[in-house]
Amino acid sequence: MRRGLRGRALTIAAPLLAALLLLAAWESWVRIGDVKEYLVPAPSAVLAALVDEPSRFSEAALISLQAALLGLVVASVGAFLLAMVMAHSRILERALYPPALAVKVTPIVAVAPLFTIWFGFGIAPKILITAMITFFPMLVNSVIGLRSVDPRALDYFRSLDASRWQEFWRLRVPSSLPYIFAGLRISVPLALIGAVVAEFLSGSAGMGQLILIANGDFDTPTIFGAVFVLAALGILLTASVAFVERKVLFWHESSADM
Amino acid sequence: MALDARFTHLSRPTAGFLTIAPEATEISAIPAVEVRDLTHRYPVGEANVAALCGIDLTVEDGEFVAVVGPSGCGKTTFLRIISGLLSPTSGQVSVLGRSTDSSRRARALGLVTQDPGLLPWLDVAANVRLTLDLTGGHLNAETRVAELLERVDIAGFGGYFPGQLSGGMRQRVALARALAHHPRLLLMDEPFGALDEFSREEMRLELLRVWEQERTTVVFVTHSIREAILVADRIVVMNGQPGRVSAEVPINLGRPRTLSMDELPEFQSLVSRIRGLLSAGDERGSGVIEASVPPVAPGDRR
Repeated sequence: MRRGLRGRALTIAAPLLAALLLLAAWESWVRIGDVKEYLVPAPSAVLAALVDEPSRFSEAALISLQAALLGLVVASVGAFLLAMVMAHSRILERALYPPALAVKVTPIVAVAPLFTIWFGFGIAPKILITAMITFFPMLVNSVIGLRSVDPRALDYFRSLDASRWQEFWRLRVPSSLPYIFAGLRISVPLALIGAVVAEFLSGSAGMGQLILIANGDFDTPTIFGAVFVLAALGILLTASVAFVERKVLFWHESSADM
Repeated sequence: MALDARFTHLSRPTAGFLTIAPEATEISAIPAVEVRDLTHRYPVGEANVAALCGIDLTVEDGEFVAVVGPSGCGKTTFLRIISGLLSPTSGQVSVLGRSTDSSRRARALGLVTQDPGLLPWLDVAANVRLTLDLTGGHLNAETRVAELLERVDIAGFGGYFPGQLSGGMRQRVALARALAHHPRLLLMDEPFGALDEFSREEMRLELLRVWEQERTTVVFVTHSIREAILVADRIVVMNGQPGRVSAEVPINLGRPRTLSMDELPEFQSLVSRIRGLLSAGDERGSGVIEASVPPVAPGDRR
């Protein structure tokens, strides 16, 4: 027990200590080396920018987060629905896979201006771009997940003449959850990238716009502040997914050593 | 036959099932399983490989039949065909007087496999209950689940998840799950094959005890000769590639069976007789031989 507690304290303390040391080294490098602030600001300057106008960052962060999450939800639901169709038949899979792949390989940056023309500067094009980036990993994982059913369990269902509906909800969907969570872990950071890139390209409100404006002003501390906020958001989202995954997939071997 | 005399007070006749114990419900003249000239081939690349060839078998209602044979002789394929999960290439198979598919749709089957495929996200009670849910519910599902867990001796483990159980315990859950909806035919494919020797012996007795209470027809596939003799009324010996039924051996040991029975000379002679039948079949490769036919000369090997 004591060892467990000490181990847990260490797992939290060790990375914190490492981060603090890194920041200290950075700070001293900037101060001793007299590095120009518009090139690399000291951590203290970044902190000052963050503390000076916290609402600027929090508002932008909320807007980007909203677009990222909505885009991810749209992509996940769409991908799962399409995966249901594709997992159902190999022919449909073969028919639908090429267009899905085409969406994946198309450079989003190239289509983003179109979305702005079609949908304006609101949240809609941002959701669409985020959804396009996260759609493919969710689709691939959902299809594999819905297909990876224990054949013995499937025999059991079929020996009892379970309906397709029962087979789907009681066997295929739970079996697919480990794969869907794997897809989410890949997609969550992609969703943030999608939202920020959309804001860069359309110039609409959010972290992307914040960075764009700060860039024009050579306000490097604000850019760094925005980068830190985005990194923190990414960590928070990934940790949330991991937390939910542990709760939902308590029965799966991936949760065994957590 | 001296054995018969010794066990008459315990024994259940192995023929004439219309007359067996009164608690055995729904015993009918229609055989539980009837297989005529069954052949099955499956594609491997360009070729068609024969898995089963010319199988004939009748399993009477209420009978406990064990199918013994070496690995790869098509036992599992045979069981899957009876269960209606696989359609044979040719031949007739009927279960309880109808097609395998219609028996399957009538929820007349219980299935236990070596790896039972319990649902890892459901606890033990929910896994057993699932059978009742899938087969259209049960008036008193909770009571039935409790009764089944009691019956397979895991009453205190309803809240455990499959991942927390030993192999033997998981097979108990699988047995309870397979019996939940009162199937008329229980199909078991190497159910104890993955267990250690202690658990195997325990589970054999457990199965017999449960069978005495639930009274259903059982087709039990195994590669253990001793296991087959201990549990069955009759042993079907399968051989060869493609698999054929090479002999049928009635087991005239009394019931209830006990583990110490394997020390009886009758048990020993059954073991050597079946072993002989299995190796004779091996030498013949594929050929139907009668139980009384001695092993063929090596020169006859194909």
